[in-house]
Amino acid sequence: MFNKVKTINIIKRFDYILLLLVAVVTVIGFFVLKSAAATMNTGSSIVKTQLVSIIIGAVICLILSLIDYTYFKPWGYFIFIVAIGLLIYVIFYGYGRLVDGIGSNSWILLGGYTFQPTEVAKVAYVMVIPALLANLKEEFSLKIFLLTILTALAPIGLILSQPEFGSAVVFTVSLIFMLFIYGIKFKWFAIGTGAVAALLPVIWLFLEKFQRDRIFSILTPDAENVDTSHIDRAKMAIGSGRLKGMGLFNGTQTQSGLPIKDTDFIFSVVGEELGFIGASLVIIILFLIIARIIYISANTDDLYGRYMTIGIAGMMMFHFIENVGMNLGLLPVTGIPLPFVSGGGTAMIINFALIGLVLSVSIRKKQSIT
Amino acid sequence: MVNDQKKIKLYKERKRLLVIIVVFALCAILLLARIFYIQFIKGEEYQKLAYQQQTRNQKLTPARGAIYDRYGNDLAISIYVNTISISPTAMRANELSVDLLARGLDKILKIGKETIIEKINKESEYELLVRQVEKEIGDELQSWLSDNNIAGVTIEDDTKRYYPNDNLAAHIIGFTGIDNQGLIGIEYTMDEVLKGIPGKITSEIDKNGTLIPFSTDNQIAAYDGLDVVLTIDENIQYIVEKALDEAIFKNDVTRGATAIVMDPKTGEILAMVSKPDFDLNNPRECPDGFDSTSWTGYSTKDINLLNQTVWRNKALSDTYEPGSTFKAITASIALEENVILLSTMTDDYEIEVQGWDINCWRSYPHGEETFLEGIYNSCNPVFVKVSQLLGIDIFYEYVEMFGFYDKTKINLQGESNSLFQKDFGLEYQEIDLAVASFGQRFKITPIQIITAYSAIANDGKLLQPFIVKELLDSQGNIAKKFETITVRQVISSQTSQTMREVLKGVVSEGTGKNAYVPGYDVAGKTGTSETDEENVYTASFCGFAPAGNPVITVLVVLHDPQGDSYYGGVIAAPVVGQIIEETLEYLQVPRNLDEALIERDVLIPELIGYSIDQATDILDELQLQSILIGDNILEDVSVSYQYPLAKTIVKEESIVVLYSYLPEEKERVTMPNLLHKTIYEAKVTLNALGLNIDTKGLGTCIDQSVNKGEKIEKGSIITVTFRYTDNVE
Repeated sequence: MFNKVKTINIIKRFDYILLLLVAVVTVIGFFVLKSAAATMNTGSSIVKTQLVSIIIGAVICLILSLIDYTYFKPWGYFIFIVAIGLLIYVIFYGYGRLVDGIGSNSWILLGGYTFQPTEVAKVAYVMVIPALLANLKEEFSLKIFLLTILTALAPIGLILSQPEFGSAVVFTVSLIFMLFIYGIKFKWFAIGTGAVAALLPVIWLFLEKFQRDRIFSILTPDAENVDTSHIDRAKMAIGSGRLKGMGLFNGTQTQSGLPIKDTDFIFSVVGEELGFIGASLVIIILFLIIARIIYISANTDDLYGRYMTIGIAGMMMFHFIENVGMNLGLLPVTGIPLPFVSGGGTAMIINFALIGLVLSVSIRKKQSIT
Repeated sequence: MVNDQKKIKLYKERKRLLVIIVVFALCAILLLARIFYIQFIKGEEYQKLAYQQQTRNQKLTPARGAIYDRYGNDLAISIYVNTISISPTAMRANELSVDLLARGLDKILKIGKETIIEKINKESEYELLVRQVEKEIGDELQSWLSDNNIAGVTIEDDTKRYYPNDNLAAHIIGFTGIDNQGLIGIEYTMDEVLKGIPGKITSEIDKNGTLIPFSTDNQIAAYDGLDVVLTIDENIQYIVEKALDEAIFKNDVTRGATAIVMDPKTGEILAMVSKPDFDLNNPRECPDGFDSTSWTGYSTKDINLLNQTVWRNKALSDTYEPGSTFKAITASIALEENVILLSTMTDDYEIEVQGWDINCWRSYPHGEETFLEGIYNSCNPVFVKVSQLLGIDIFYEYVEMFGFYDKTKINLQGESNSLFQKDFGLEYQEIDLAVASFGQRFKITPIQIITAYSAIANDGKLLQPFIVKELLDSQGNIAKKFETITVRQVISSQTSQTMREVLKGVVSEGTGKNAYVPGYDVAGKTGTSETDEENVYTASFCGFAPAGNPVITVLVVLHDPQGDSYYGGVIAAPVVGQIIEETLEYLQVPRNLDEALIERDVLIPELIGYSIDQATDILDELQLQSILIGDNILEDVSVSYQYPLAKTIVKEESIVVLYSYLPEEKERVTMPNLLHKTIYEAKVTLNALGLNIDTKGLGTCIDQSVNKGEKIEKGSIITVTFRYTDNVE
């Protein structure tokens, strides 16, 4: 009887809007990727991988949405420990340095397939940190609070030492969002920001030359001896798009020398081939997806679910703004892919998994009150 | 109460969520605004940049024209090649390890695994791996990439210059640099024509001020370079290169050599050789005899060395004292000015000019002789006296008229200026005139002397030598034809005719005997001169043939021969003779031969199986001699073995040895020493032993194909080389 009630609830309470938005942007993204990969040596295998990943991701998404997310609390700890282990592993045995265009040992090779532990860590992160924060909210203790912060910073530190600056920021933004909604006082944010600011010169020392160059190129667009060719090409591509775009498979930059066009610079492909109409459509849909997640967060009374969803929103928001921002020459170039659009199996599956978690929360958001 | 507190808290949290969503919305709007800015406000500019970038990548570069010889044989062609580059970032994204990738690439490209690994690990987007590899390598690489699904390698189409004949005519053809720009030779001087005109993209603005970038009307197509047809004849060039190579080897010529063949009636250069030379397909190789450690072929030091050695076109760049070859010029001037007759008596006894004693080249003088004999014997005092009859002003006026003061303006780079006393701001002295009459104390280029000789051969008309015959467009139509340019009439055609006869006599009777070719009436003059260094000589010969109606003029200059002789008449004249004989035969110029003097070639028939009687009859019929070997020679015994074998070509009167039995051990004789014997003596000596002779050259024997004392089969043909060594300067 209990089961029956739950089944009805799921169909009734399922967030079809979110699912639809994700579906639309994934389909657009797939065709854009297909166009981007058309002139690449390994184009066909990229497209195949993407299609398979979308299917696997969609299935995982639906499965996760059906499971009560609170079950993930214990699972989360387990995955979290495994992810930390993998992050340590890649520092020493990571494969494919610079594989994502920004220079890091972030890949693991497994039976001919590659995956990024960082992506796995994302799922673990939004399962574990919200749980710790929710517990803390029920019963505050400075000691546990500090332990929680320490746990939350551990993966960030490991990712930084890969070194993978971009992904580290993803986790940081997610953490800040969760802490913000947790209700931490602005005073502490100020202190935290101050601490990070103080650490910046130290981080700068650890950055590799090309990473510094890329940050530098954003700060001083005309500086010489800095490789800004990526950004120039991206801007040229987007600028060529104008209102309607040059059409899929027709972008002159896309179909020639636009760098890393299947992942980092896929938004430039959108801009060139689909024009202002296509680019704003993608931006609006992604905005709506993230806004929808925030809305779900706001309407979830359960603290675990609320923190989890806002953490996911933070991750996706950073991915979205950073990726589009760097394509537009507003932000430094990092290897942050555009959710549901960029080529890359692990990221696609993980994004779907995160949506699955959000859907699970959204179905059960009123449980604690009613 | 608790519930209220919770609600306040939730309210507070929702307020914070609202803050997030508002900030997020602002960010999204900012992104949209930025896209709007890039696509609309700056759109045109970026579109233009993109278009420029795009079109820059498009192949609007024209194809470089080919270089052909006068009959259209390929001398320089452009072939399609591939340039391979990688994107290190994309390379590292492959499933294969860097090590495996490098190993695979090295297997195909062979540029070193370590180099490739280093490049793959670079922090850049573009690394050049190798330029201009053969298309087959590019294709092999492409299939390897596809098979293994490897990303990040770019194979670009490119063209590369290829020279089918390697070293042949290297200095004339020249070669191109890595960007296909001509560096020396015709590749350099005709670069503008060969390279073509690159295509252009023009930006058109429509009436609203908008750029119309993608219409094909705005694209000016590239014009392919024109093909250059040279006056060079590949076959003659080959004949000359071979003859010069042999001469260099035989006479141990240490400082290089040059030879030119010119058509005296048109000024066309038919062949031009400079030694040492280089392989056009590998022009930067370290020249022989130089230290190749730390050799790159690209450093300033290396390029200087190459320029001074193998790349140097001695035919144009080297100046030398022409020596006695210049006597033909002095004689022409004297006959033209009518200051002396060929029959005028003179002598070659020692003559003193401004305190200098001038003697004949021969250790004992020729004594009283006519001017003609003086020319045949190449006597220096005779020419000194003739020049004194002309005087400084007239003599040097003709020197200038013969073109020795100016560059010939041949269309090749590196032509040097001649050096006369006037070039140092000095007045000509009596002694200058005296020694200039026999070609000393001034320096000219080989191309100048052959051009002047061609004027003597060409009814006195000095022509501008040229090497480019015509230019062809890509359809093969003649775009430009280069015509003969007559610079001036230097001597009358009457004087020219006389000089042709005189120079023919120099070869048939005088010091140029070794250039004699039966039936081709070679005319010419020898030259031997000392260089600035003591005991370093330059041997040369310049001549033309046939004397009655010259078809080619030939110059051979050998620098510092270390062999038995350094006299031009001994070592350069036979080379000219050889070049003239082979070239005129190739050009099918008929020989002017007295029938009775022609030694006919005979093809020896198969005699084995015939009776001795029949065989000797057949040989008699063919004007061949026979020697019979066997214990019981009866008329009906059949021939079991013959030497030379059937189908050998011999001269008439040659000996054929016939055996009545099948010999296990063939009859052998000991080879005699023929050195210094005349042709007749040599022939008699060999025939007496049952050997046959094949003669080369005239004069006395200087070489025999079988060393003395060697055992040799009866009937063998011995090649014997003869040369005049007496009274040949």
